Amino acid sequence: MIEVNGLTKAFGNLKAVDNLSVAFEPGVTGLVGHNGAGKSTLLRCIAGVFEPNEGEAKVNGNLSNTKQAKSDLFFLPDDPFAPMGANIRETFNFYSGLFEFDKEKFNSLVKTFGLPNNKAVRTFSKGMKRQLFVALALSAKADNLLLDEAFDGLDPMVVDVIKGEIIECASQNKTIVVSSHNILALERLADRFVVLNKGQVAKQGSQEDIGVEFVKYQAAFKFKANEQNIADLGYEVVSFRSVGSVSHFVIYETPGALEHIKEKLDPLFIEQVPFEPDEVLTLEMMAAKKKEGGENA
Amino acid sequence: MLKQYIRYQIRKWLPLLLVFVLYATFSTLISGLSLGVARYYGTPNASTYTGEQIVIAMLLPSFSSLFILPFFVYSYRTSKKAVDTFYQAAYADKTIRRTRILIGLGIVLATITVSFWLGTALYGLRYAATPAEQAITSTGSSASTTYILRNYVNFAYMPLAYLVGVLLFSGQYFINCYLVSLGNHLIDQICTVLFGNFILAGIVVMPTLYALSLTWTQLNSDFFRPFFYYGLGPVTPILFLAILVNPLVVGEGPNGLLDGSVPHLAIAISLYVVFAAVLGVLVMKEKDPSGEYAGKAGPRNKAIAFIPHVAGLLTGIAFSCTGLLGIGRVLVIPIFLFAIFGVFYYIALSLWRRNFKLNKLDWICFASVVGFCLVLTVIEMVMSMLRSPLNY
Repeated sequence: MIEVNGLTKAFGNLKAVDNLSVAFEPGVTGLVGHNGAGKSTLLRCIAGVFEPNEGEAKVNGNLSNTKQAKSDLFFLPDDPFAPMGANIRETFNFYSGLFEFDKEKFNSLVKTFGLPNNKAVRTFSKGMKRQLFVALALSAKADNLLLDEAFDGLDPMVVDVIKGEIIECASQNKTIVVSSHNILALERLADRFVVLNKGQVAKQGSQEDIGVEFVKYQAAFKFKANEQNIADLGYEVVSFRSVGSVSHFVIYETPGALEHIKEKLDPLFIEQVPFEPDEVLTLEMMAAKKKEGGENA
Repeated sequence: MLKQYIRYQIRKWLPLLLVFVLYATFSTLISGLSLGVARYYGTPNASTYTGEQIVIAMLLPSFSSLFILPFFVYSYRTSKKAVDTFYQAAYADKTIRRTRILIGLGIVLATITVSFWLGTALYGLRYAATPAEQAITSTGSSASTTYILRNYVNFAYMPLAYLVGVLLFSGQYFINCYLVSLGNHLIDQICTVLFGNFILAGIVVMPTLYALSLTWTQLNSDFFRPFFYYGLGPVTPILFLAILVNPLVVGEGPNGLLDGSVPHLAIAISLYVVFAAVLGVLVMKEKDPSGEYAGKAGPRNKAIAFIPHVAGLLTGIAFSCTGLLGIGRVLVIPIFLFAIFGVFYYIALSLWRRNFKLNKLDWICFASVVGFCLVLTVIEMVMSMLRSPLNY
């Protein structure tokens, strides 16, 4: 269990994490957000790598910079460290001096991934390195795992294997946080999502909960429609895109909106369509940006 | 887990230990076999140092180990990747750093131990194999003859000299570790070690010298000479040891220490060891800077930006005490030296910044340092005139 209360981490004038409060329960949580949203900074603050300017992070009830908290946590950064010239065994020995691992599980995962034992880790491809360190993270005995961009550079087959391993790991009552800028990568894995934007929690809940306030329509009008036509009807348009004569637009869910648009704009056809999984995240970002723009204006 | 880390770190740095020990052996063998055992110019009292060469043999191995190892110790802070791993470990940060510092110290001490005792053994063998008062070499042109002077060599004091050496080398190691710890980037760390020893020494020595130069017309340079060694960094312990070994080994033991400038040396060594011990406590107790500073300038090493100014200030103070050197009595010389100082200060600063257009802060610091030193120079000249007006 990881709790973050009012955490702020600034680099100069830039607040990478801004007064953020969130709790990560046992199970798999997807931490999503665009590049620079503050995901890695948040994970580093929880792992005790960065010192927060304000607020605190607790791991199993202990402050993140304490020995107890660090013993209960393993953080896999997006670009992990391998000692110079070390092969898989030497890398494992190095990490074993700093953290506790299940050696059998590690060996079995390395075997599953088919990683070469005698080559220096630094000569591995990006994907191979990722597999090795994911294997290391999943064999850590800590109750809490933070995996930053865990699937970056991996092919779909390996991603599926790793997802299976992560789910198995989570079934042992572990708290696993997997960060990604691509919500699609966390499909069929995370029980819960936390969406970050500009260092703050933009949204959190299950995949269905995220984006529930938006509705996406597909329509063809008798005239060349634009965003303003919808806005003039009193709806807040989150996105508007036209491909040929077909327009796709997203608005905040309002009861009776479909009938109202039909009545006022008389489209050739109009229907509500489902969101693509990764579209939800983009919409959250766009909505947040629009809101900011409105506030600034 | 910690034991496993220590075992891993020792295994990892074992090649480093082997390289330094082999280097020490090789270097000591070369110097020990090639240097003369004693030089004798007619009367026993006029003979030059003999035991020093044991210490001279240690120069290169000790210098390189003292200079290089602190960078290895703090390498975990200079990379973002390494920081991500090390900082999240349960016993980060002091335990990891302390472990690395102590293993590094072990390598330094192993290097100087091999050098010192191998040098002593070689010297002893050559000493035993050479009959007293027998010429070893003779050069026709200079007419100097090399002799061994048995009655002047006292090997019983070598262990004592070794123990003092251990203190001195450990002290310099901790000073260098402290300086390296100020930077999170290798270039910054190298700069702090290169300039830091000079600055640390200057902070202690230069103001003292300046204050004394105002009041004393004739300073005893013997008193100050050992303090100047402070600024030489990894060479400092060797210089102290070389001067110490001579009276201990070829003199009359501890009695020899009471003669001449040796008491000054003892004071200088003691202060040096105390100063190093304070920095040693600091590096063992300090907290690692937050991980975001890995590989870049951090809050602590913002001080690095001011290194050229501190160095400039100390050099300026040194130029301001020209009375010390006996050349401040001619008005034109301090002015000339001061102008030279100003030009060199500007050039050094520009090179450091890699830009001849300095920023506002640099200009303010530059002007403050030059102005301050100018005031000191004027005071020094006025005081010199008051002391001996005829010289003007």
